[in-house]
Amino acid sequence: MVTYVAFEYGKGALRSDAARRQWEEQQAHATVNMARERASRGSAGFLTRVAAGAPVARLWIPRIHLDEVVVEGVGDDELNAAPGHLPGSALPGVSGNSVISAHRDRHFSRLDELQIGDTIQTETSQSKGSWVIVARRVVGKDTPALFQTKQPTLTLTTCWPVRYFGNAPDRLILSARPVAGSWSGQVTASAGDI
Amino acid sequence: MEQRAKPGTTYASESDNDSEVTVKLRKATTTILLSAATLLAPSALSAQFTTFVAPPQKQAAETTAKPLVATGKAKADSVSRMTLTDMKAWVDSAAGTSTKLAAVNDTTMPASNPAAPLSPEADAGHRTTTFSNGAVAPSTATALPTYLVTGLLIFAAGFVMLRRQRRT
Repeated sequence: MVTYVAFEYGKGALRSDAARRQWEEQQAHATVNMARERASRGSAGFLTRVAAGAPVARLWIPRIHLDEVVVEGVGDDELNAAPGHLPGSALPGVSGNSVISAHRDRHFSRLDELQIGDTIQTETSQSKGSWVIVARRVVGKDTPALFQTKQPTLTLTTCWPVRYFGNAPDRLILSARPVAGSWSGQVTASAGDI
Repeated sequence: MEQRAKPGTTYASESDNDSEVTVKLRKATTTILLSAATLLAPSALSAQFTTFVAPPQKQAAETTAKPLVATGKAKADSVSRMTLTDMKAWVDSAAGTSTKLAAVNDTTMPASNPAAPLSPEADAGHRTTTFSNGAVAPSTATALPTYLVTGLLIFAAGFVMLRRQRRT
């Protein structure tokens, strides 16, 4: 049993490293592509459909010293490797609600320490900027908690209580709004285009 | 020849015994056949009654009996009788945009119809994999910590038991 858990955690760590390497390569390619696009058309790039498990963003939370690459999808494999971006939600920095989830025993093990007013930073191939947490709530696992928004919104979710023996019955939901003036890059598409 | 004609000889007595045995066997066979006929007679009679064809009735009686027969047949055939009402709700439900159909009363199908869309309560355990307005938070629950703690406890218990065994 202990070996199995160690195997799963080890597998997640390896995948996390792979996602990080892939993210860095992707960022390098994106930089080159954006430079080419700007040179040829004067536009700022584009968003395309992302395969499950592919890195889509980078997430920093200074207060809890979190620095993770976010992968696409919220399946078991994706969440074992890294925080997962909920498919169909906006990417961070794009108009709409961007939802990122992670396990309470893994990457979001200290998410309960965050309070309203704490800052979060995200980076995608399109934009980079800061968010400020504006809402913190705990809901039941079957309670509707994710809603579309017109303004850019970042939603972080994990299981609640964080320290709990067995399947946690609730969910911790943190909502953040972008900090004005902290963003670089251009927003080019809405959530419906992803 | 004289020996055959003489009564009381051994040959004559054997012949009489054979005929007696044959008669007894016939009686037994007859008894069995009669008993079987007696036992089977009621079912045969009832079978005859089931094939009884009623004579045609008067015209007035037929006009009242036909709708009753048709209604009974329709009730028995639940598939052909199922009527689709409120098609918009059904299409929305099939497309996953609404669960209104679950609230529509369908008197033709049983309550535990597996093809009917799930109610929001029943659908609560569904795992969120894509974003939609009003979706529940993705399932981030994992049993790995439970496995880890359980495994460590078992490991510790085994270690303690081994130490006790060595001391004794």
